[in-house]
Amino acid sequence: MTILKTVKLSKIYPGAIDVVALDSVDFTMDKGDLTAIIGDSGSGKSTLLHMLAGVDSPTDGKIFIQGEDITDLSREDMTIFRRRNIGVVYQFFNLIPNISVRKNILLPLLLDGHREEKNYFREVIETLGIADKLDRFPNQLSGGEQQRVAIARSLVTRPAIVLADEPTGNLDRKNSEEITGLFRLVNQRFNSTIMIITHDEKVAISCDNTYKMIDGRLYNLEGENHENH
Amino acid sequence: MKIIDELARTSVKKNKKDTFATKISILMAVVLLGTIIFIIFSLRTDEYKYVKNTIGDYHVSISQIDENIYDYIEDWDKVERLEYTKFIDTGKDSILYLESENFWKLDYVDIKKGRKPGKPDEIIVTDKFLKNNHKYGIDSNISIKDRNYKIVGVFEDLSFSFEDTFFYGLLSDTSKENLLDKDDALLVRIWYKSPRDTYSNTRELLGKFNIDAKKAESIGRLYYNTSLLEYWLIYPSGIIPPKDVILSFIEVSIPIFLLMMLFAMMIYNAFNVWNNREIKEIALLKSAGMTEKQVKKMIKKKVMKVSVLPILMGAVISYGVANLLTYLMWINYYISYKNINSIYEQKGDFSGFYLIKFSPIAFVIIVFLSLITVYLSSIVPAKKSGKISIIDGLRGDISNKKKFGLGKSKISLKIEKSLAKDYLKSYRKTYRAITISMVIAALSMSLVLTSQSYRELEIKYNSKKDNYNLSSTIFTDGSLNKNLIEDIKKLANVDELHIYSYKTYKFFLDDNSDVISDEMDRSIKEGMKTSDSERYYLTIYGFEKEDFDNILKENNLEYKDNMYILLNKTCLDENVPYQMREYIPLVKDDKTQISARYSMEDDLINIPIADSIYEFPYELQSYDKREVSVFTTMENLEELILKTGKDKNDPVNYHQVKLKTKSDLNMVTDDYLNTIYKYITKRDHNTSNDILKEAYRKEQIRNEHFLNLGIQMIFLIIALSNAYNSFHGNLRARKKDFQLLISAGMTEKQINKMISLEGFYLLRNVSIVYILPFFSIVFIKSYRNKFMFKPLKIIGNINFVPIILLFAITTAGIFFAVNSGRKSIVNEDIMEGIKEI
Repeated sequence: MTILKTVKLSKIYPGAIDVVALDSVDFTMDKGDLTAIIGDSGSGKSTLLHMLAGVDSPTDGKIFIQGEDITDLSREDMTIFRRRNIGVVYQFFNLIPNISVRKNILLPLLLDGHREEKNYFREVIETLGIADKLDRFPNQLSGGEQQRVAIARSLVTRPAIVLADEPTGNLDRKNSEEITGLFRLVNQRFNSTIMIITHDEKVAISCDNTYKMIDGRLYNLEGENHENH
Repeated sequence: MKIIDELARTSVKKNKKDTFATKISILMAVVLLGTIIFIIFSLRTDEYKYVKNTIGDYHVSISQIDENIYDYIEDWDKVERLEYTKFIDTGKDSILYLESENFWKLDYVDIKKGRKPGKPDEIIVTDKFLKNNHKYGIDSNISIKDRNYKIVGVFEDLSFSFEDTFFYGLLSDTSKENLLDKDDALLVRIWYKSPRDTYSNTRELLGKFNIDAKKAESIGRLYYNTSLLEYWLIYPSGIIPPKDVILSFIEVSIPIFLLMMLFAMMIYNAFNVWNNREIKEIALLKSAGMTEKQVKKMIKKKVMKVSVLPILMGAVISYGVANLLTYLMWINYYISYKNINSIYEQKGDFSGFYLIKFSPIAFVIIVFLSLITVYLSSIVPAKKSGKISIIDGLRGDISNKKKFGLGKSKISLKIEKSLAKDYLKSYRKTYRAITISMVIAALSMSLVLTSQSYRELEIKYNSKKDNYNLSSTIFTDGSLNKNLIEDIKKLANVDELHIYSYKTYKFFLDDNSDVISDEMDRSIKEGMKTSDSERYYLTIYGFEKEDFDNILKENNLEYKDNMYILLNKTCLDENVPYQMREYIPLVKDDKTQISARYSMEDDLINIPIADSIYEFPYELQSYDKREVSVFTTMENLEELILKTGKDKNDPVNYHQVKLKTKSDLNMVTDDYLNTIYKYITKRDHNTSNDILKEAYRKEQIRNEHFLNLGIQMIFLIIALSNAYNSFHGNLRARKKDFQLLISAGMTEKQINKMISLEGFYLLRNVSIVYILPFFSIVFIKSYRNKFMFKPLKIIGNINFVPIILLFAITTAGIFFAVNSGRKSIVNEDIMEGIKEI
C-alpha cells in the first residue's frame, strides 16, 4: 500500500541566480517502509522533508500522502492534516519547553480534540523507555531522552508516516545508536512508515532502503535510480 | 569599550519598532512624573518667593523688646543681622510703624497711590484713613507726637473700617535711645549666623529673660518665619520634621512614588521582553566571547541610549503640560471671577495668567529621577540576559527554567485553555511585571476616585443645605444700626427675612460638668464626642424681638426679661455624617445655668437658661457638632457684651442677615447691597447668594474635572501603551514557541484562542491583585476620617467609569496586541522556528 508519493516535486528558490533545491523528484514509500535519505549539506534532503511535512510548499509537482494531495491544502487544513497524518522528529527535538513531557507527547491529539488510546500510549512510551519521565519538563531531560519524547509525539496519532530530520544529528554516539535502534524497533512493532533524513551512514545502513540526494535529485543506492527522468 | 557601545547602538537602531514603543512608554511616564514635580515645585517655590518678597527672609521676630533684651541681642555672637520696627501710638486711633530701609525693598505694603516713603519724615497712610479724614491727602502734612510727616502714598488696608488704622514710615534713626523710647514699642527681626539653630537660639534667648516661648508664640509676641524655615528643612526639633510636615510630605511622596513604581515597571517590562526577543543575538555574542559583565554593560548602555531622548523630551513636555493644566485652571477661575463680578457689578484686580517659572532644579530632579528609575529598572533584565545559557539562548528558549514550582501540567481536552495556563505559569515573571504595572496604574486612578467619592459623600451627607437664598454677615464694633435693619426690612420681593447678631464664647466642659447631660457625658467617655474642652463653644444668637417672640410662641414658652433659651440638643456621635446623626440632650435640665468664657484666662460668664428648645429656629443654621446654641433678643445680647466687655482676641460683633426670595435673586442682591452700603463699607460685610455659591461650586467641579480628566487621560494612555507594549512584546518574544506549536499541529484559530485566553487570564489576575489594595485604599481613607463613611459606602459612591474605562482600554491594548501579535506569528515562516542555528 502506497503511503507516500511525490510527482515531479520541485522547489526553486528565486534570486539573482535561481537555486534549484529539488529537481522533479518522483518518489514513493509503502506501508511499513523504513527509508533513509542521505546527502551532503545543501543537497536538498531537508527541503524534501519540509515539503513532505507540509511546512514548506513546492514550486511545482504533487505530494500524495495516503492518496491525498497535500500541495493544494490551505495552511489551516495542512496543519490539521499534519497533526493527524504526519509525525515529525527534528534534529533539535523541538519540544515545547514549558509543558510537561506527557503533554508534549499528547499535544497533536489534544489539539485535535482527542484523548490517547491508553494501551497504545503505554506501549509507545514503554517501547521508547520514557514511561517514568512523563511528568518532567523537556529541559529536565537529556538530549537522547528528549529525542525519545519527540519520537513518541510523532507516533501518538498513529500517523501515516513519520518524517525524521537528522534525528541523531544532535546526539552523541551512544544515544545515536539507541535512537537508530528505536526507529527500527518502532518500525517493526507498530509497522510504521518512517523516513529518516540523515548524513550518518550507520543510520542509513540500519534502514531497509537508502536514497541519496545529490543537487536536488534523488538516487537509490541499491543500484536502482528512482529518479524518473 | 567601543565595541559594547557599538553593539548597543546597533541593537537600538535595528529594533526600530521596539525602540519606538519603549520610547513612547518612557515619554508618557516622564510627562506624568514631570508634570507633578513641576506643579509641586512651582507651588513650593512660589510660596517661598512670596514669603521672601513680602515679609522677608528673617528667621524669627520678637516684639516687646526692652533694654535688657536689646543690649543682649546687639552683642550676641550668634546673630548675623538685626532689623527693628518701631511702633508709635499716634493718638489718632492709629499706629505708626517705622520700618527699616530693607523692609521697603519688600512688597509687604501694596501702594495704591503715590510712593513708598524715602525720607524719615515721609509716611504712607491707608485709604480708610483718608476716607475718614477728608482734610488729609497725598502731599499733606500730618503731625504725630510733635513731629511733622508728609503723606507720600496710600496703601490698601484690608482690616474692618472700624478697626484702628496704621501708617508706615522709614526708620532712619536706629540709635538705642530712639529705638527704646519709653512711649513706643519695639520689634526685632533676627537673622542668625546659623539658620539651622533658629529654634534652639531663640529658646536660649527667651529662656535667658524668663519669657515663656509657648505663650509668647500664642499671643504673637514671638513669630518664627516657618514657611521659609521649613523650605530650608529647619524644624523645631532640628532636622526631624513635625508630624504635619511628615504627613504632607507623605501625601506628596505617595503619588510620586506610585508613579515612579509604575514608570519602573513599564520600563522593566519593555526591556525584559525586548531582551527576550534578542536572546539569540545575546547567546551568539556570549558564544563569541562576550562576558556576563559585558552583556550587562551592553544592556544598560542600550537602556540609556533608548531612554535619554524620551526623558529629556518628557521633562520639557511635562513643563508644557503643567502650564497647560495651570492655564486651564486659571481660565476656569477667570470664568468664575467674571461671573462673580457681574453679580456684584464690581471691577476688581485680576492677576493675569503667568507661566510656571521654568525651574532648572525641577528639570534636573525630573531627569535625575527618571534616569535613576530607568537605570534601576534595567538591572534585572541586564542580569537576566547576562546569565542566559548559550544553548538556551541559541534555541531561543526564554521560558522559566524553574519548572519544579509550576505544579503539574494539566491534561485537558480544552487544550487552548490548558496551554494558556501553562504559558501563564511559564512566563509568570513577565506576566507578574505586566500585572503589577497595570495594577499600579489602576490603583493610582483609584486613589483619585476614592478621594472624589469621599468629597461627594461629604457634600451629600455631611452638610446641611442652606434654605436661604442670600446670606450676609455684617461686621461691626458695636450694635447693628437700627436704621440699617429697618431699611433691610423694606427690601422688595423678599419672602422671608431674619436679622440676628451672634457672639461666640468658649464652652469649657469643666465649667459645666454639673449641668451636662448623662448622655453627653457618656458620649464623651466613649469617644463619640471629643473630650478636648477647648473645642466646644457657645454661640449666643440675638434675634429681633419679633423673631424671638415667634420662637417662644412656636415652643409654647412665655417671654421673660433677660431671657436666654438653650438648644438642648447635641449630636450623639461626631463621627457620623450630618444627615445621619442622632441627637441627645446637651444638659440635664431644660432650665439651668451654663457658663462660658472668652478664653481660659478670662472670667466666667454665667448664662441663666430660662428654658430649652429642640430645633434651631427658622432652620437658620446647621447643628454644629460642638456648638452650644443659646437664643435671646438682640438687645439682651448687646447688654451682655457691654457687661462682659469685648473679647480681646476677637472684638468684632457679628450680625447675620438671611433671606428667601422667589424673585430675581440678582435684583434682590443688588437692592440688598445698595441698602447696606448706605451704612457700612464694602470691607465690613461678607455676602453670598445661591448664584455665587453655584458659581464657586461649578468652578470647583470644573477644576476637579480638569485635573481628573488630565490625570485620567494620561493614565489611560499609559494603560493602553503599557498593555499593548508588554503583551505584544511578550508574544513576539515567544515566536519560537508559536512556531513549535504550529509545527506540532496547532491551527491559527487555536493559537488565537490560546493567546486571547492568556490575555483574559492576565486581566483576571490584574483584577484579583487590584481588589485587595483597592479595598485597603478605601479602608485607609475611611479610617483616617474616623469611619464617618464606612468603606462600603465610599465604594458605593465611587465613580467606577474611569476605572472600567481603564480596564477597557487595557483590554483594548491587549486585544490590539493579540491581533497584531497573531498576524506576525501566523505570517512568520514556521521553517524559521524548526530550523536551528
